[in-house]
Amino acid sequence: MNLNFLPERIKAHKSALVNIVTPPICTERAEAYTRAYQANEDKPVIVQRALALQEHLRTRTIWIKHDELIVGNQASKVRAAPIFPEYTVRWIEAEIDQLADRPGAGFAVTERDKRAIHAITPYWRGKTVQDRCYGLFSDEQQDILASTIIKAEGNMTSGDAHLAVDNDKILAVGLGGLLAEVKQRRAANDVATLEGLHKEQFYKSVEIVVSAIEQHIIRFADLASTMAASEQRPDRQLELLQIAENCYHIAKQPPKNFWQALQLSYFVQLILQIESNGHSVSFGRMDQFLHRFYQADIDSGVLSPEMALEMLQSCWLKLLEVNKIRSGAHSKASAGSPLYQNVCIGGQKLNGQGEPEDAVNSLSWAILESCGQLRSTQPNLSVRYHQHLDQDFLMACVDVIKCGFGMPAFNNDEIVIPEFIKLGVEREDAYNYAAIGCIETAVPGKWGYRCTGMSFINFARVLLAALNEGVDATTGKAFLPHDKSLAKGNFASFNEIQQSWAEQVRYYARKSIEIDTVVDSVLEQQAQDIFCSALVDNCLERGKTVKEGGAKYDWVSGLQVGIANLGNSLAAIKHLVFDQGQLSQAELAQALADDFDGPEHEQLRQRLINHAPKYGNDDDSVDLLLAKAYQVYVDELAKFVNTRFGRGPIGGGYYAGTSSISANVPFGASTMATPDGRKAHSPLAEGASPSSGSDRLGPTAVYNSVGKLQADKILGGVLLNQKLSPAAVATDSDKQKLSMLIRTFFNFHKGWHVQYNIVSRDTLLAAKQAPENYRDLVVRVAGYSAFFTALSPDAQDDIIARTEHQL
Amino acid sequence: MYFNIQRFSTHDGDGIRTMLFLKGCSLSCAWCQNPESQSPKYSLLYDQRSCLDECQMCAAACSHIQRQSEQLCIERSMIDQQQLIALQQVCPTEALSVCGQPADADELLAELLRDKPFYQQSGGGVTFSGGEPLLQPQLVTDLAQRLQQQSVSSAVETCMHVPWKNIELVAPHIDCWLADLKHTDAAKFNLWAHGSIDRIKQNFARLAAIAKRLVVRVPVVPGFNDSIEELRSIIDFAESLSNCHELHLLPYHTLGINKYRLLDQPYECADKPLNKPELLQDAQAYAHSNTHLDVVIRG
Repeated sequence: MNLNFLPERIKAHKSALVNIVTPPICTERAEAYTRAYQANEDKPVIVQRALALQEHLRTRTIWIKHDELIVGNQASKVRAAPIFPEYTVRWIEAEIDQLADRPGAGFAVTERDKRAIHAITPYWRGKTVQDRCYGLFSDEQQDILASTIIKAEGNMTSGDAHLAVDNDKILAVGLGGLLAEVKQRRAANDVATLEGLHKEQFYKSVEIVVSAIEQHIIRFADLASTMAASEQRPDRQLELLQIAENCYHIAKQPPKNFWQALQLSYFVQLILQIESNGHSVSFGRMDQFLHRFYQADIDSGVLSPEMALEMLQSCWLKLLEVNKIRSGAHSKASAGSPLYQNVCIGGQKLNGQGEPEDAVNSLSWAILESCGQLRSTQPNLSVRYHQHLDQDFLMACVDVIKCGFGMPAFNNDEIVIPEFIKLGVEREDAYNYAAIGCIETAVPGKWGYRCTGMSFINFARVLLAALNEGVDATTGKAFLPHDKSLAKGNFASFNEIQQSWAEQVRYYARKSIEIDTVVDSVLEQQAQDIFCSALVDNCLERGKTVKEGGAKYDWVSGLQVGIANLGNSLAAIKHLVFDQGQLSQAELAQALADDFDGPEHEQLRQRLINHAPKYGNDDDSVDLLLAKAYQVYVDELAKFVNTRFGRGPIGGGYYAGTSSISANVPFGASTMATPDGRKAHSPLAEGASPSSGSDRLGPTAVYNSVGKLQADKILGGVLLNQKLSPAAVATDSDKQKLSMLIRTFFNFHKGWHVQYNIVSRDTLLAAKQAPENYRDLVVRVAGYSAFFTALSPDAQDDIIARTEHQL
Repeated sequence: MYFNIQRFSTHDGDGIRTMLFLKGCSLSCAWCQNPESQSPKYSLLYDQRSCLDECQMCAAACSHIQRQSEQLCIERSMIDQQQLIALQQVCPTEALSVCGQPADADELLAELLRDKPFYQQSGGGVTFSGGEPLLQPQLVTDLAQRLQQQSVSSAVETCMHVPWKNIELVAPHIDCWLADLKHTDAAKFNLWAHGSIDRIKQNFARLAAIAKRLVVRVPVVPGFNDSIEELRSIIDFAESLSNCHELHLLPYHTLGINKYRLLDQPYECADKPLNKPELLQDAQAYAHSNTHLDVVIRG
C-alpha cells in the first residue's frame, strides 16, 4: 500500500468539494414531486410516489464534472441538498429564509429557491409525514417529544434508510432482469382479491420506477456522448466514450466489468438517496460483491490496479457530493451533515463445505488503500474483524488509522455472528452481515430499515426525573410522578434510587415504542420506498414494501444517549451519599439545582468528579451499576415488537443501541447538571464510551469496562471511540501492539466496535486550555508515559510542536 | 509501598504490559523523571493549576497548610507521615495529592492480572519498575512467583544499585531484565547519580550468568553521558557480559520536570530533551561493527 499518493484530478475534485462551506440547496425534486403528486391525486400514494420519482428523474438537471470516472449527481448543483417535501415542510417554511446564517450547518439559498419553496409548501401542509404523525400522537406523546427527553424528529422528517440493499442481485440480473421479475410477478398476481389489489399497486410502482431508472441512466449515457464529442483532450474523450458505453450497457444489462459494476452500484446508491432522504444508506460488503469483476479485469489486464483505485476514489467523492439538509435543531445531532454511507470489507465467508474462512481479498486491499489515500469522511469504512483475520491486513488497517481520519472502524464477527444466529438469523445470512451507517449491523438486502436509528432516549434526563419525583429538570414537567426526591432526602437507600430509575426508564421505553409505532404507521402509508423495497428480500415475493413487512429480517433499535453519565451519576450517589455519608441527599439536590454555581458547589462538583469511581476504569463498583441500570431498559424492550411483527419478517422486535453519533452534544445541551459532576448544557458522553477525560487507566481498562455491558443484548451497537496519541502508532512495534490490543478486545472481551482517532494538534491545544476534559490523554516515550494535562506548559508545547511535525 | 500501576505499557518489555511502580530508590539521578518515586514514604504533590480559589479543605485537614490568597503555603518539612495519610482524598480537584500506597500483595496481584488476556494475546506481562523495585525484593518475588504460576511473565526495570542478594532472590521468577547502565566512570556516576558504579558493574557481571534475558538500558543524558566515547565505553561493558545481546539507548526527555514543581524541589538537569539523533546513530553503528549487541534507539 502506498498511502501517500493521490491522483491529481482526484485531489482537485476533493479540494473542490471540501471547499464548499455553504452548499446550495436544490428545489428540483421538491418541485417535480409537487407537480406529480398534484397531477395524480386520484391514485394510491405508492403510485403517486412512483410517478413523482419518474417525473423527477425525467426532468432533473444532470451533469458530469471534475473529470470523474463514476457519474451520477444527486442534485442540480455540486453538493446541493435536495428538499423532500413529503416528509416535512414545517421547519423548511420556518427556516428557509435564514438558512445561510445557520452556524456550522449553513446552506446558500437564492431568492429563486425561496420563491420556489414558498410556492410549494402550502400544498404539503397537513399532508406530510410529520404532520400526519402529529395528527396521531396523543397529548402525552406530544409533550414528551416537546420536552426532547425522547427525540424522533429525524424519523418523521426523513425516510428510514439505515440499510444495505441486494447489490449481488442487481449486479447479477441488471435492471432489465429486475424489471422482468417484477413483470412476471405482476402477471401472476391475482387482483380479484383485496390483498392482490394491494400488491398490484406495489408491482405497478416498481415497474414505473425501474423503467424510469433505466431511462435516467440512458440520459447520463447521452450526456457523456455529447461531452465526448466536444472534448479536446484525447484521453478524457476516450474516458467519456467509455462512460457513455458503460451507462448504455448497464441501463438494462448486467455489468460486464469492474467499472460498469461499480457504476451500477453507485447508481443504485444514488437513486436510493433521491427516492428518500433517509441516511446511512450503505453498500454492504463491497469487497465481496465487486470482487469477481475486479479480479477478472486485473487478471485479464484490462484494468490496472492504479486505475481501479482511481475509480474507487471517484466513487467515494460522488458519495461525498450527496448532501442532506436537516432542521437547525436536528443538524446539531448530526454534526457536519454526514450521510454515513458505509462500505464494509473483510470478515468471513462460508466456503463450499459451509466452513467460515477469511474473506479478505484483493479488492479488500484496494478499497482500504483507496480510502487511506483519499482521507475523506465518506464512505464510512468498516472492517469486519474476526479471530483469523489476516495479520497483514490488520496491520494495514492500523496504517490507515495512522493517517488520522478516524477510519476504518472495526466490527467484530466474534459477537455479531453468534448473536445473530441466536436471534434467529440463518447461518449463511449471519456470516454475510455488513456494517450499516456508522457501527450498526444487518444482513444486506435482507433486513429492513433502521437496525438502529429509531427514537432516541436521553438517559441522563430520565435519571434526573428518577431523582426528583419524576420531574424533568429541564422543563419542570412530571410525566410519571412519584414521591421520592433527593431534595426531600426521602430515598431510604441506594436501592430505592435504582428502583426509581427502573420505573422511570420502563415508562420512557414504552413511550418511545409508542412514538415509533405512530411514525412507522405513517411512513408505511405515506412514504413508501419503492426502488429500495424492490432490492430487499422478500419484498417482491410477498408483494410488500419493507415497511409493510416485506423484509426477510426486521429487528430495529432505538438509541440511548448518556450511558456513561448514567453509570457515573449512580456511582457518585452510591459512593458519596449512601456509602460514605459525605454528602446529604439535599446538598446534592441543591448543588444540581444551582448548576454547581459558587465556590462550595464547585468543591462538591470536584468531589463528585474525583472522589467517586468512573466508568471506563475497569472498576466494578461503577461498571456493574451501569450494566444493571442499562439491563432494566434492555429487559423492558424485549417486551415490545415493531409494526412488522407477524407480517412476514423473522424477528419484528427491538434491541438496544448506543450509536448515537454526535447526539450527545444537543442532548447534553438540553440536560441540566448531573450527579457525575457534569455542568448543565455540556455534552453527554458519546455512545458507550467513557465520559470525556474520565478514563485514566488507558485502553485496556476501558475495554474491560465496556466488556461488562451486555453487548449481546445491545445489538444496535456498542459504540466505542478511542483517542490515541500519534506516538502510540509511531513504530512498527507500536502498531503491532495496537493490533494486539484490538485482537484481545475482540477475541476475549467480545467487543462490538472500536474506532481510533489519532489525537491532532488541535486536540492537544484544547487539552492545554481545558485540561478537565482531557485527563485521559496519555503521551508516551520509551519507558515513560505521562498524562498530557499533568505536564508543564513547556513540555506540553514541545509535544504539540512534535505532533504537528508527525502529522 | 507503590505509587502507580500503569496498564497498556508498550515500551517496557515485550507485548502489552502492566507496570507496577514501587516507591523508594537507592540512587538520586539528577535527570530522574519520576522524582516522587525516590522517597520510600508518602510524598505530597501540589499542582496550583487545578487548585480551587477559596477552597479550605486541605487547610482544614492539616495545620501546616495555609491559604494565602490564590496560593497555598505548605510547610512540607513540618508535615509528618500520619498527617499525609489524613490528607489523602481531601482535595476535591486532586491539586493536592498524596503519592504512595501501602502494598498489599493480594490486591496488587488482582490488579496485575486484570489485563491477562492482553498479555496472552501480545506476549506481554508485568514489569516491575520504580523507584527501585529491588529494594522491595520480598514483594517482587512474591508477586512474580504468583504471576509465574498464572503463566504471566515478569520483567524488572532496575538501576542495579541494590544488594546482590535482592537480585538473586527475585531472579528465578524474572523473564526479562531491563537493567540500567548509565555510565562506566565511577566519579562521574557518583556526581550525577549519587551511587557506586562498581557495585552496579559487579551486579551486572553476576546477573549476566543467571538472567533469562538481559537488556542493558542507557538513558542518554545531556552533559552526563552524551558523548560517543562514553557511549562506546558503556557498549563495550555490555558486550563484555556473557549472555547479554540487547542494549537500548533512551534519549533524555523532560516529561517529568513538572513533578519537581509539584514536589517543590529544584531541578538541575537540562530543560530540553536530548536532540542528538546522529550521536545515537553513531553509537548504534559502533555497536554494529564492534559487538554482537542489538542496539535499539528508544527501546
